[in-house]
Amino acid sequence: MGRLQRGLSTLTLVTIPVAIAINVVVGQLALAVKVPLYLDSIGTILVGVLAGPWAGALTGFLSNVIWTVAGWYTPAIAFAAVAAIIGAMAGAFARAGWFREWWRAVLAGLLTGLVAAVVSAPIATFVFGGVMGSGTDAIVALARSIGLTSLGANMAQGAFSDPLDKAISCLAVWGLLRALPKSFMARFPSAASA
Amino acid sequence: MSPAPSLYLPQPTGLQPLHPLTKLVLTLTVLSGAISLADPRYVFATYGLILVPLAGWSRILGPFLRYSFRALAPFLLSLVIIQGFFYPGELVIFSLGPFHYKAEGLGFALLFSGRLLVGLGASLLLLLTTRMDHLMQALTQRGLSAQIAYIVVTTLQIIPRFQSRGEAIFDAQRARGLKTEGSLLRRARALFFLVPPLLFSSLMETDARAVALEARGFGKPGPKTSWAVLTDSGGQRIVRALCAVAALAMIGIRLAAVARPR
Repeated sequence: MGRLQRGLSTLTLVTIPVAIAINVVVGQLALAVKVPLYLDSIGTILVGVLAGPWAGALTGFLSNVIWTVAGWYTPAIAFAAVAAIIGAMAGAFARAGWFREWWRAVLAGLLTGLVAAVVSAPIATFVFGGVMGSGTDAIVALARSIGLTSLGANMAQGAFSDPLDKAISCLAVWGLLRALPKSFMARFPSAASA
Repeated sequence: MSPAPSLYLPQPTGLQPLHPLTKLVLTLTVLSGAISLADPRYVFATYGLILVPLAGWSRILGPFLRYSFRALAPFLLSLVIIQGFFYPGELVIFSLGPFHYKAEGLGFALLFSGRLLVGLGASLLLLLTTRMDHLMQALTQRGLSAQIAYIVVTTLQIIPRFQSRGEAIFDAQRARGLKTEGSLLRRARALFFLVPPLLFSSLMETDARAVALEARGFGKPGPKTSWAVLTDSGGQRIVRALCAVAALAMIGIRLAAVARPR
């Protein structure tokens, strides 16, 4: 918590609300063109890369809090920890230089998606009784019909949906980093390693 | 500009005028009830005998029931179908090909639907009766970082502007001939022309915002004064203490029941 107690720089602080709004609006654009992806964590990954794992985790966590309090999807807050892990992992991968080449950014996204699937499955199983109340429940039903347990079926669903979504999101952030002006990037603490 | 997304419905009576912390503690107490009660009858009674009367007292019964049902319905449907067929059990109600619908699964689905109804209902009651900026102010006074409160309140304020910007970009690109319907590949391709303009235009304005905040001394240490005044009372402090005791008791009883060897 040391990083958070010292506080965020003002630039990071004003970027986080914008990043959360990006999560919301890009997620809604993905819905509008009916692509079977969530694309609701691009802002989270971007903050993780630019401002480090703690800021990324905070962005992810508060993003889900906002989904709940805005009244769009009340259960979102239960998955806030998963979103925080996604932001933290993006920050850690960026510090290790994984956002320098496009293929490593994709790999970082795949790994992040796998972790997200593993962490969100117990929440879906033990808080929501093994369903998500969305179209992905068809995958859960399929997995259980071939004999998987409730927890196993939720992991299978996540492993099916999350890695692809996070890989594409990370690739989008990689592209964004290449396109943003250097003067903008240079003001962030972690941008040098990305 | 459209207002910040919020479920808050102002009323002069009921829960609305209470201190935000009282409502938060009430919600957390009901949530601990939802996870610790193991009998579906008690779970549904919590909704019917605590949450519904509170919503009625706050004059938001209609919206409360509507939002509760809207939030629960997709879970209810999936739970009743999936757990009914795949939860381990013996009492077969009916069979569909190789799959058997079992009473144990239906019972499990009902218990979880009840828990979700209570959990979602308690959260909705808080959101319907509490202004988010007031809740953040109350939490900041109790030690929540002012930065986190700033992020939550600001995000809710800027989202409507971002949504209209997203819609404007969507319409502008379609007017230039972008196809946003058709095959999956074509729809995915459309995102390439929708997402980057939104990202660039929104990120570029953060600089100006940072400078504006710094100029107003946002980063200065020390206490800050607030425009809104939150009223609290001795009665509410007692209610909060009783709620905390009740929540701990319910969780304690549940843990004891789980730990007891059968």
